Amino acid sequence: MICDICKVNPASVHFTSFHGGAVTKMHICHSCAVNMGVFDVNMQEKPFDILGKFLSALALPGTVSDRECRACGKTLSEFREDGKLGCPECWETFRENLAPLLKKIHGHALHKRSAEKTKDTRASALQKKLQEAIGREDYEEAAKIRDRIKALRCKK
Amino acid sequence: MIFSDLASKSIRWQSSEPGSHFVSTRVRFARNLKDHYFPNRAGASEQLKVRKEVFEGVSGIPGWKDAARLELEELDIVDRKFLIERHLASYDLVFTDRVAGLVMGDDAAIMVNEEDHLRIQVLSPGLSLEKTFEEASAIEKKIRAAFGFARNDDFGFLTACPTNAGTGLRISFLAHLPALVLSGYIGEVIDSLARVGVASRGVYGEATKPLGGFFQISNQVTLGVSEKDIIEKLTAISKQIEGASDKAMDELVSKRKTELEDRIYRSYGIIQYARRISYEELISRISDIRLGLSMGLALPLGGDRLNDMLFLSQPAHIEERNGAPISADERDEKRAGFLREIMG
Ligand SMILES: [Zn+2]
Ligand SMILES: [Zn+2]
Repeated sequence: MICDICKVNPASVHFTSFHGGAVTKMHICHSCAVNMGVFDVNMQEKPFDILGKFLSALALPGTVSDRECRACGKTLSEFREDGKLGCPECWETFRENLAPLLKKIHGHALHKRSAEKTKDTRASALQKKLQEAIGREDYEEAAKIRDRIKALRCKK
Repeated sequence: MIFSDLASKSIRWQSSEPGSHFVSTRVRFARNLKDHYFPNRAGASEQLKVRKEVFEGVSGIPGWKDAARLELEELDIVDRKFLIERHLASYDLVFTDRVAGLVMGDDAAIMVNEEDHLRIQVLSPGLSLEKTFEEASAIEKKIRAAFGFARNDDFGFLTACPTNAGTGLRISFLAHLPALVLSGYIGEVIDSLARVGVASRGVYGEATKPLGGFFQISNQVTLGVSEKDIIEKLTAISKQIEGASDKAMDELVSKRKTELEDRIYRSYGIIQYARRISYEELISRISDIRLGLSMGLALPLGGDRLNDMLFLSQPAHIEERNGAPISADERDEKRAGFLREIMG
């Protein structure tokens, strides 16, 4: 891609602008961007990007056979290139490939469900049981379940 | 240039305690809508649809009805730089060929179609990890209720980049650590933070040559830990940093007092009398004066005025107030004038 301004150098900075009633994409080169003062500002949040990219190349050896996300069409080799997943479904598609990468970045491969959340899940499971007990008119059981729900709430 | 008014408004999320180690706290959530490709994969029309959905949805959320909604393609380069200077947007939001947007609250902002559909962020003064998290979390919950986010039990919130998976939570604080820089201990501190999964980088200047001793410190690990774990870890880290900095300061004062005082008063003089000053130089001078205030030197400058000097004299801030583009020299001249105005 060639710079829209000088029409000489390869473009490395991209932005959108509004021209003639439509959103237009602009691609400009580093030196034109410098002239426009794009780099006067402090860069934010860049390190994580670079880290992700670097690690995705590292953790995913090139020999792995390629696969493709059924939902968005992103391939594993594309992911290895840019370090970015294409859609929520990609997380399932590339699950096995992601595990070693996540382990490298976070030291963990799985999400820790917050204590609060598990408690909520338990409480709602008990609520369901309670409704069932009441439904079959088992009031003794219902009273027991109610106590357990109460105990759970107190622990908060 | 549409921000001339905002460009003269002080930043509220900066600590006005002049000599404090901690300037501000930021909490940022990465979130994605359920039924769309992530921004990097979505075509322009889908990006546009996501932005429209978010803009419309946000207007129904209490407290966000009147928030400004910006379409990035409408902004010129100075406006875009201004948003970065103001910490309302990231470089990736304003310089991208994606269809991007920004919902702008007072101390909170929602970036649309950055790396993820939504980046929800809240800023507050000083070190206030828990409170800022609670605030951001309340906003995130309201937005979650309005949209529904992509998530599952194994990976938590599903993000475009694996570096943000799980909680999708990045908490950072901005620390001013001139004593650690001057004494040369800063490298050691940064290395030891990296070993425990905490990232730190200079806020100003090049990555290899940070300016003024301002560092942004944030959690690198977002997956396999709870939000509470992240807050606790950063709290512990902040205490360690504070301790290390105080120690470095004592050492400096006992060994190099005159050298330090000379440097600080020279910087004060330059701020007062310079007729032209670059932003890079200003950062170092402000850093010296902050150092002086934390040493207890009698400098007639409060934290609020220092914050205004540092924030409102950034390049795009000056250009926005000027209303028309100016050369770098003119900007440096206007900056010096602005400093003298603040000094009164
Ligand atoms: Zn060019
Ligand atoms: Zn996909």
